[in-house]
Amino acid sequence: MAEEVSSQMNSLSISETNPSSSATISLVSGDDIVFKVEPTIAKEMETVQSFIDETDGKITTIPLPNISSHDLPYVIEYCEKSIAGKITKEFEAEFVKKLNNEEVKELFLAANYLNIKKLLDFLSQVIADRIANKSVEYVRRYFGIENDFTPEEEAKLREELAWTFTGVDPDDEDEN
Amino acid sequence: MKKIKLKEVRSIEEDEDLISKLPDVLLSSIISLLPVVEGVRTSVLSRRWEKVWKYSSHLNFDQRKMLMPLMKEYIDTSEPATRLQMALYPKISVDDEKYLDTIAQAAMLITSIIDNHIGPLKSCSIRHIVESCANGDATGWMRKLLAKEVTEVSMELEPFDYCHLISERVFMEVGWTLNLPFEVFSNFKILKLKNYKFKITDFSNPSQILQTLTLSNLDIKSKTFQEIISHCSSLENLIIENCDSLVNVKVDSSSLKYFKICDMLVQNFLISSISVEIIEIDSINCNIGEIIFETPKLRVLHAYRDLKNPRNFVSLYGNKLLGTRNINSRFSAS
Repeated sequence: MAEEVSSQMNSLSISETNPSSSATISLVSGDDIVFKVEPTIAKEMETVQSFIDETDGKITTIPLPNISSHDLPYVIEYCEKSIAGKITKEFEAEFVKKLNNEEVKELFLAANYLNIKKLLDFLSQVIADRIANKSVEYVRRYFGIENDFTPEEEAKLREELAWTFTGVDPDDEDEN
Repeated sequence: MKKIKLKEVRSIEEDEDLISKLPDVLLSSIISLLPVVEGVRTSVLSRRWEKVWKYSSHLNFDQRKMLMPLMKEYIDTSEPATRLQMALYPKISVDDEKYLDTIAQAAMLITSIIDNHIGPLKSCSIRHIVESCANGDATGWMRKLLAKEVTEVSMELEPFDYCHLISERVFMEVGWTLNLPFEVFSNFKILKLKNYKFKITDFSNPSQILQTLTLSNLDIKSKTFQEIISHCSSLENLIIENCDSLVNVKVDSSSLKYFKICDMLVQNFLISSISVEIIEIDSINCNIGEIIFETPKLRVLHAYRDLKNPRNFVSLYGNKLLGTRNINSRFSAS
């Protein structure tokens, strides 16, 4: 509460004191494409920043073998908006519109790997929204979950949890 | 590409970036964002998922939305007074689910979900029906959440819109009276209570971690309120909304840093808190009496009113609207 109000008041002064002193950081995607970013962007990525800190800023080329050149620009775009303080509902809605289910999952993994809390929280919400009210089969497909119950076990579990099945979208059973 | 060893950096070893390779804790964090019923439903996905929801950090209950469409049917076809009566004398055959009405069944599910959650449970919000307040279930959930050492709790009685249909006053009273153990005000870090009348019996408690307290549309006696505040030694944020029973109040707290009062009729309101830095006043009507701040460290004062609501207007002296000049003179005088 109090913090929110003070941070609103301080936001002006924070954005003014940000001298870009050091050189740009090169992020190398898993498929060997180099992305040059400002040090402030790297700061948003805790994994990258802790690596820079550990080498006292001497190493500025960071390999990110788990992130593809397809996904990295999205991550960078989100971080740029974040440091500019421009993460609005509108921006997030536009951002997520561009992403299919596969991309959302990839970005979620990337955000987890890079330890970008804001992006991780945002994508958690996106995934939750996309599986809300969906059938068990849909959610299995969405997450790529293999059903390892025997049919008897599953039937028994479904019976026990019958009360959780009342609001499910029936139309999604066969959606892909 | 030069190979650099990333020290102390988490990495995903597998090349296939399947979401199923994610640690359970991340899956639980997604589940935390779903309504409880949907979260529990994910147990059916696979063996691994059977337990994922039990580690979610947040449980979000809305009793009326549980057991649909049975719930709607039950509420639409039964008399409020009968339901309350059943809530008050339900203990005949609690062992047999068949004899429980839909509201009691939903209440039982809430209890069992809280019991089966393995944790740690960071936050929990429960919006429930009048009957579950009347029969003490709501207090029971509070006790369970206390035992689970939940950090953030929000309890809300859904608007008691049919109270005029209940002729017997005693039913109406029990419908929204919450009997709380005082630990509620000391052992949660963040607490919000909405739409109750409440009773507290015992004020003694040594451990104090409550930091943020929101009281919304409560029928609470000024004396009880003051007693609560004086016992909350670590309280930093206090928000009071629409508690018209608090007409003459002194907020005396040395730890309080943020104070917000909104949508209320007040008479004499004294905020005497040496640490308060921020005060927000939103749509307060103070015709008789005055609001006084004894807050030497005050840095920010937000005062505004909701123009759409004709009942409310900000005024500190009589009927005068609050202007910047009034505030300044008030502060330089105190």
